[in-house]
Amino acid sequence: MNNVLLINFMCVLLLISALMVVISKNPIHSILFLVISFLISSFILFLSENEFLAFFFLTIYLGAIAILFLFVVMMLNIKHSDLQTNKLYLPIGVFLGFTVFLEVCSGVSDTFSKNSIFNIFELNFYTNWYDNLDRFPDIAVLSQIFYTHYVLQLLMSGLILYLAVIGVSFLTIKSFQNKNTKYNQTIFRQLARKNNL
Amino acid sequence: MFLELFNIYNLKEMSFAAELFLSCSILQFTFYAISTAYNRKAGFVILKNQFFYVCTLLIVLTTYLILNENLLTFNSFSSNNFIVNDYFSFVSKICVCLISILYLIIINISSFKNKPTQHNFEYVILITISILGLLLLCSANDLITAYLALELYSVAFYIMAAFKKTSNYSIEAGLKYFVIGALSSGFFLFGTAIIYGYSGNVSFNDLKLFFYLFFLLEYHQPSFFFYEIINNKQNELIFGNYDLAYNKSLFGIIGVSFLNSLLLDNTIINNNFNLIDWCNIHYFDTNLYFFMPPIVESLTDIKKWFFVSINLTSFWVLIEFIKEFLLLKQQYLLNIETLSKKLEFLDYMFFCYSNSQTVNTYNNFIMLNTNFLYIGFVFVCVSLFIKLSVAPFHFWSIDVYEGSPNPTTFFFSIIPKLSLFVLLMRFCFSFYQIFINNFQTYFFFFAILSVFVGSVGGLQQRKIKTLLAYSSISHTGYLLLSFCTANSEGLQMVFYYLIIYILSVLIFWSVYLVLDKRILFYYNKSNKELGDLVLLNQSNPILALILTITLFSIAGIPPIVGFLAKINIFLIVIKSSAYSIATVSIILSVISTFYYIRLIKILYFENSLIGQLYLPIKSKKAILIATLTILLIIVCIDPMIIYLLFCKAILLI
Repeated sequence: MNNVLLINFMCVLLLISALMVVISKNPIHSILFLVISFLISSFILFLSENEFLAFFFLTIYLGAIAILFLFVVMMLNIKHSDLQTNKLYLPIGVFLGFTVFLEVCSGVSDTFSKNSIFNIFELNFYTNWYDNLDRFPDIAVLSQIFYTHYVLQLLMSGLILYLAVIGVSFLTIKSFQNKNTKYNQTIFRQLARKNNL
Repeated sequence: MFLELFNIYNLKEMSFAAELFLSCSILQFTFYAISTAYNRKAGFVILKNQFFYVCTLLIVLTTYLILNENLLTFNSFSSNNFIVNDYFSFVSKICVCLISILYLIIINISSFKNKPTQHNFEYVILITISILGLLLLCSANDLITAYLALELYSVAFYIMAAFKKTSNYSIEAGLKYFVIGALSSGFFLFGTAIIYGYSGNVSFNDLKLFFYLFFLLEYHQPSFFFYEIINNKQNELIFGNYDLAYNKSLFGIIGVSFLNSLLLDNTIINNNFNLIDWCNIHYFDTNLYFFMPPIVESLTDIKKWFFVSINLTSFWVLIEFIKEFLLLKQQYLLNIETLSKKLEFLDYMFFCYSNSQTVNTYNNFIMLNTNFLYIGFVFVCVSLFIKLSVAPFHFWSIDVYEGSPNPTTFFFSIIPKLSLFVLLMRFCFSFYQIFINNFQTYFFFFAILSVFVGSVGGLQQRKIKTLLAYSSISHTGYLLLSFCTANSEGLQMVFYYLIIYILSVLIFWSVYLVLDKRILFYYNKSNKELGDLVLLNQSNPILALILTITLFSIAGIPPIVGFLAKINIFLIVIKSSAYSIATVSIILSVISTFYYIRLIKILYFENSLIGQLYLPIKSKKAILIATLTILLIIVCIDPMIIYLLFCKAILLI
């Protein structure tokens, strides 16, 4: 916990960006703040020596989910959202959020046992010097296992991605054949009384 | 000691040589295809038949590779116990490959005018990739590899269903199939996650060990131990349960049971050992289970049993230790004293690894909460049922079968069921068999419901593809019926019925695809109605006869082999004393014969002046259809050919 200050700063930024996601009127702004919050959370994970989860966040959250939101906003064509002017929203929301926050805090505090002498968070850390000297990052460990024991699964998932590339490129490509097709219409069927097409 | 195995060790991963070959060849083939079909200088060549020929060749070569499975190393687990390569997978893979070869030949020969499936090479690549996924699914020994194989062939299927981009039906079918298939894959993964959370392992072998150790209270298999005398002085002790003493290299030992005779006085273990015999004998990777007796010198003190940890990851230390113990290493020149010390250490280890979660020691085993296992099982089974289109989850199959282009429905209706049933059998009966009482009734319900839906739903159909879809649902219902009975005969009947059904459906579809109308009123309307088969007897009597034979086979009418399969299923259901279920299913099968015989009536006895006119059939197609019908008739005469294929395979579960 040598970089506690940096982590705390990042947490504050995360809170601010998450709040801005909810508050901002323009949906594009909210998506951008969501992206920023994902980035900050992945950075915090990096600082906590959890590289795999950090990359996971970047690929899955930013690579898939944020793009999903972006596409939704694009297609639904939301210009701007009017904040509804109801005077009761704010106090009730604050009250509910505060109660949930209290419950979360109680749950968190119950799971961690207190040290009677040192109740201060910053002093209750322990450095494992052996780990600092000779330790693999978790990504190295995972790769050591993935590429030796689970090679088959890797290759299969690679094949699935390859298949996805082929399929997507086929389904979306505009072929030259479809331009010159003539659709033979049966006009008497269309104009008939009982339309038994 | 393992350095001596070095020459064999590299071949350990070669048991999926066929799949490796197929995958590499697919990649090579796509590069070739792209370089030819998207070559601007050559003018964007359309290669119609070449791709089909190449892919048939590929699959023929994979069958050849699969057939060479008689080596010692191949009859084992490979890739870290994720792939199993026993007789069951061998037979199912060969069946899949042969059926796919026939399918590709039929597709190659049938004529399509301006159809995208013929002109685009991606279609063939998708077919081969899906076949690769199905092969991997047949030999999967692990839930994760099964999931990946499922996804592999499912994604190929989604694209194949949506292949005809100009048709709304096709796109709709592809979308529906994609959404529902993704949901089912999600269910599968969720079930595996729950099972992993409960038991700590995902491989079928480990799960079998886990289940048999903790939940098997009564164990009735015969056990004996081998006592080989090599020299007068030295005795080698081999102990195990031989369920089927066919062939050591093929089957090996099912399990090892430590008996109290471990502490016989004359157990001096041999130092010189034969490597091949050791491989044959100490076949620990298959179906390993343990019953640990009390390890004390007094053999009658049964009360002192041990408590084993719930999570098997800590148990493997124990197993490795025991493997070492049995490995006949030169270091372990054992006398009685060292043996007893080692066993004391074992006892201490057992005590150390104990988690005291014993609520009631019933027969000296642990009672554990099994709710999560049931939930995991339910999710996995639901996902497999969705993919098989069993009754409450069948709604997607009707629209998908109707909407997707003809070759893809052809492919859907014949091939994936085999591999899915293989996986279902491995999943349900290798370890969940202990809980068979809990899920048998529900499976019977699903089976009867699907038979009902298939029989009653097809009655009002005028389109032939939906008719076939409903018939496929009913046939999966019959398969599930025999599957639920949990007899070995029942399981054999599943595959017997499947292969006969596949053969008859092949012929039906080949006839369906062969008929090209001479006069087209609509643009490229390729889905045939009942009216399109009118009075085939007058224009092509042999084709009508072939169709009748196949329809009799599908419906289950006596002299044809489909009847044998159906009656065997009903006999098995009756044998397991499910009389009401049997009567209901028989009545529903009678009801379902209506829409098969209506087709025959339309072919022969329809009350119209002239029938439909078709283009003349080429000789290649005629030869193919004739050979397939002759195969069917041969199977009528000698049905045991197919029966013998799978009877040995089922015993391996």
